[in-house]
Amino acid sequence: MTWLARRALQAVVTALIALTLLFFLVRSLPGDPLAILSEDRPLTSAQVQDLRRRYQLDQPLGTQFVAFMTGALRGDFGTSIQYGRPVRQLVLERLPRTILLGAVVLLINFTLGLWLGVQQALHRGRPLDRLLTTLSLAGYAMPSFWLGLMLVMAFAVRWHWLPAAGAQDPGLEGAGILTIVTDRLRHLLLPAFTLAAVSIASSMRYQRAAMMDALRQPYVAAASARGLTRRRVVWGHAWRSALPSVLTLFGLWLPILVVGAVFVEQVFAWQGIGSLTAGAAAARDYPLLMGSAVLATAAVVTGSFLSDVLHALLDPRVRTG
Amino acid sequence: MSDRARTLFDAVWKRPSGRAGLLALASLALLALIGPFMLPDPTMQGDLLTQSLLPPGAGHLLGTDQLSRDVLSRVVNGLRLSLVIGLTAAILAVVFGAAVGLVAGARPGVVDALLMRTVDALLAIPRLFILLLVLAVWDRVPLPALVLLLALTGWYGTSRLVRAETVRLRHEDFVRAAEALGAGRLRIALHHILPNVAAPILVAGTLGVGDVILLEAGLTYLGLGIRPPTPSLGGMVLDSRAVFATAPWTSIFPGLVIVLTVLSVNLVGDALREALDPRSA
Amino acid sequence: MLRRCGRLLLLMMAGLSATGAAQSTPASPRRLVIAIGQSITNIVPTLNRSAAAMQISDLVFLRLGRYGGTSFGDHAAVPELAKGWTRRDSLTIAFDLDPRARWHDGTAVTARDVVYSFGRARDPKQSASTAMLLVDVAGVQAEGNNRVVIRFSRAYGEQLYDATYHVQILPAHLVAGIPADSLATSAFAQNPVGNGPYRWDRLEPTDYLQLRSVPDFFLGKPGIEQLVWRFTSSQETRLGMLLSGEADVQEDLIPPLSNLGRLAERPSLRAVNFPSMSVNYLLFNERTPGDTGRPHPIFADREVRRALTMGLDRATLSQALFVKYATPASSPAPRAAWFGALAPSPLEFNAREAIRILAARGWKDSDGDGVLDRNGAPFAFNLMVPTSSAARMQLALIVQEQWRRLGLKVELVPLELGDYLARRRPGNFDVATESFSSDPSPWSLIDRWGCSGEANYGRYCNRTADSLLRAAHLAQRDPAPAIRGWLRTVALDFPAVFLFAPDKVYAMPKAYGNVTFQVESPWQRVWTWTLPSAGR
Repeated sequence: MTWLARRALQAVVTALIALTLLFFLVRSLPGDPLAILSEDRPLTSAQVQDLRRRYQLDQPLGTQFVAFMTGALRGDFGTSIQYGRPVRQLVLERLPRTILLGAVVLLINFTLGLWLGVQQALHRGRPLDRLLTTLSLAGYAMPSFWLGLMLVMAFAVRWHWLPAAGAQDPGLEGAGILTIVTDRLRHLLLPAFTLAAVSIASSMRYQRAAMMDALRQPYVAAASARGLTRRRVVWGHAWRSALPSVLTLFGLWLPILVVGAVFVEQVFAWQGIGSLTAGAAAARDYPLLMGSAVLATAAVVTGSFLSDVLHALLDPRVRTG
Repeated sequence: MSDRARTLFDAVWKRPSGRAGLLALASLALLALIGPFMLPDPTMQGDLLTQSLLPPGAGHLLGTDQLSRDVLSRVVNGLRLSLVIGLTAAILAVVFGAAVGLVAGARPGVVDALLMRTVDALLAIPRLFILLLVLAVWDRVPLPALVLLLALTGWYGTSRLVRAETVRLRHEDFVRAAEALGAGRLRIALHHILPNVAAPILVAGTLGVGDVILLEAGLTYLGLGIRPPTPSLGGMVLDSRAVFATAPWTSIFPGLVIVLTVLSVNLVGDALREALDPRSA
Repeated sequence: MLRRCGRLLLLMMAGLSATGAAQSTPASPRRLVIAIGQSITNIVPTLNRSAAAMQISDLVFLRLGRYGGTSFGDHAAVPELAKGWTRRDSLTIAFDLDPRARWHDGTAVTARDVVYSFGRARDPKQSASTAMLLVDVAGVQAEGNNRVVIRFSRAYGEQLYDATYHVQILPAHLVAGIPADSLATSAFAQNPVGNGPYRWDRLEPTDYLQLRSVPDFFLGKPGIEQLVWRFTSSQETRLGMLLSGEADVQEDLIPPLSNLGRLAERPSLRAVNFPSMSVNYLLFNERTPGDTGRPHPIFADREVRRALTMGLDRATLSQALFVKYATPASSPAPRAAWFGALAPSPLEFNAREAIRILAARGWKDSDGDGVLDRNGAPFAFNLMVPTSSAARMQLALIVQEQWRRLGLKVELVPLELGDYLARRRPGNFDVATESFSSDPSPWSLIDRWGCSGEANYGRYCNRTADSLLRAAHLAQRDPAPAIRGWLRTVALDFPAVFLFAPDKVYAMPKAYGNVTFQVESPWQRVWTWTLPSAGR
């Protein structure tokens, strides 16, 4: 079996085991998911029975599991108890917003983060390097919801420069494309910045290490000896050999893209998968929780698979191992 | 062993960032240890009509919150809780992970494969998700259970580390010699394998403390972690949301303390990592 | 190259912020954006569950008559879909429909629609809650296209109220063919057709819901053309949106009181308050949690309940959370209700007397640990509160502290809303932090305080009180004495510590004229508001 096929099979098996673990974890815990529905008017016991039947909560565990697995492979996770609509529909509705936010954060991480990491490698051991490390660690140490809160208070509430919440202004239907794009970007700014600030440390660190490794390569010394300026050496040669390691990191970031940052989405009322999950957790919405969890797991498995594939493509030595 | 500990400490202390981290951590730990005894009761509400939302000043060094409770006292008590949870969960995670790694590394074959496949699968589920699932569905999680939960979702990396090291060392001469001399597996594990892997585990554990503190704060912020009226840093940020604009001290100080704590822990962990792997310096 | 990108990024960010600053001039007054906490999924009457959905539904689906300020007698309704009515005898009222009334698809509102709607509302399988309230309606018949005759099974004072308040009229020609249990997922539910001043425009699930005005609405042209309800789950985000101009109205401005001061940052906004139909109270469980057959070990004793009420400084509590925006309560009657004035005055706060009463019932601190005990058992109980309401959470914390000073060991149990409701129903609690919004009729309280009420979670039962309430419901002349008697009986039984009736405090733009909020459904008259004069 080729390396690729073997790796793919491994990914699938891992995903299936994870799904099984998830299912039994959720089902084995106590709690009554139907309670949220009786919010303002009480349900009669007949109505409760009917709902229990509709969501299959009265079937034996084994039956539920089989139904769940076959459903999950089809992409069908049943109906959300909170919203009364198919889970798949809810998730797909919110997915684009999460991807948008995640993509912007990724972009920031892979441009700014990379550039800062390179700077760190270039000035290794000197004050700038230490300062950047400390700053990035400080960012990492910040609770994302707290940072988001402070940014909202400063930029949205006190100075009215940016919107406080949401992904768009509902009143802009029919407005020009430029207005809409500007509006979307303005709503993106704060949540993306918050997420980037707390996550940039890892990209910086990764790039710093990769760059340092690259700078140690013999050909770099040779290039310097030949009289090429440091700048050309860095951006021309070493950069290229540092890139593979960083691209593999890209695959590992896929989960963040999809899962979304739960806390940040909450603070900014960003209607993505993260806030959907947080709400589902609060309401004990089993089907919706499971749908999100499966999506997240699939994203992680896919991400690490992609990461390995990219790594193998760029570094043939891996494939023979 | 204690020589090694001394060496590690020196290595961390030598680096300015490591030194700063150690000093900050020591101060915070001291504050958390002694503070609660010297400060007023964090759940005591003063006169609601006159003492609520007082800015920092005499009498209340960090001000009061909406229910006229002293912010400094709540912050210090919250810090103590966070440190306890962080340390305990990290230690438990390391112990559990090491145990699993040792077992998997020492017994090749089915057991190893099973354990490592399970670790792979568990790694595939984002940590926050498992925590959300369990905490939201479980009825009022008691504190020890929360700590255990945090520990049980954080051991995967350690187990892989230990397993790899165990597998590597299993074939070393000195281990074989010990086995030949009749030493029990456990003894081999404790005396030969673990010391070699102690340092990386220490780094992982230290960084794990910071992660746990952030996670716990986040979960409490979502309403799923520590329940009121127990003071907690994440809980204070949650409560302060409504009045942040007019009383920012109710949110700034708990957040700052979280940042300082996690930052100092990470600085120490980072310095340790550098000490063990000079190439990354 | 990256450096250049970095500079570009910074420039872009500055530019975006600037456009924002420029955009913060007020949006059009023809569009009103209301920030609410719950998301709405549908507004079809009898299908929706939440208070917010029902309020919006009132703008799209009208009734024969809207609430007239009292539930008793001939002034219980003001003409809406019916332009008038005549009483034929003590058991019959004939309603004449306004011939100008139209569905949003153009067809006329006819008697057939009314008959159909009442049929639905009276069917327990389709609408259990209204069926129970319409149990005294004997028959609904059409007489021609524009007249509906409603017959009652007995003569009583709330006939007109029952005929008009509970039933919103649905279009029979669109709904009659749909089987009852598929109405929720039908095309009609995704795109409802109503008869009110506003019509359904669109719903972005979990984001916002939009209504458009009906310019030829038969009772007058609405001034505001678009109504948007934006869903944001956190209160301070709603305030943030209000202050940054992304929303025009916030319904839950206080608590915290500091939000009132923040309104000053936007001079174009003001705070409007009006009495609400809700009452906050701490409900005692009079049965053992988990075993409703046995009385509660602590709270079955009425004197203990009285002491706990007396030992709470309710006035300070109300003051701290709401200042003047709440009135003290002594009974389930909300201040806004027409019968609210008939309630007795609340008990005075007296901690010393409370401790004395408790001692008289055997609760003393015999071991000096600061907690009262009796026969070796400490006075310990749990107080459950839903985390979904910040006001109730704060309330619970203050109550816990005050009761602690009396010597009671109160364990606070904050719960997710679903969990809270799940425990409340079977009586799995000691004390619950409740907030209930009642209908305008005192009879609507039977569900919560009557011996066989489905929502009587504390299992309070006083048959004398029940018969007094029933007498008030069936009174033909003056229900006030019976209501007064009921309120007094319930107040003296102390089934709960009635705390206060909070006002609704909304933040809204100053610009609108003729602003009125209806207590039973605040937004019902928004279509009569006038816009600021053009050119401002």
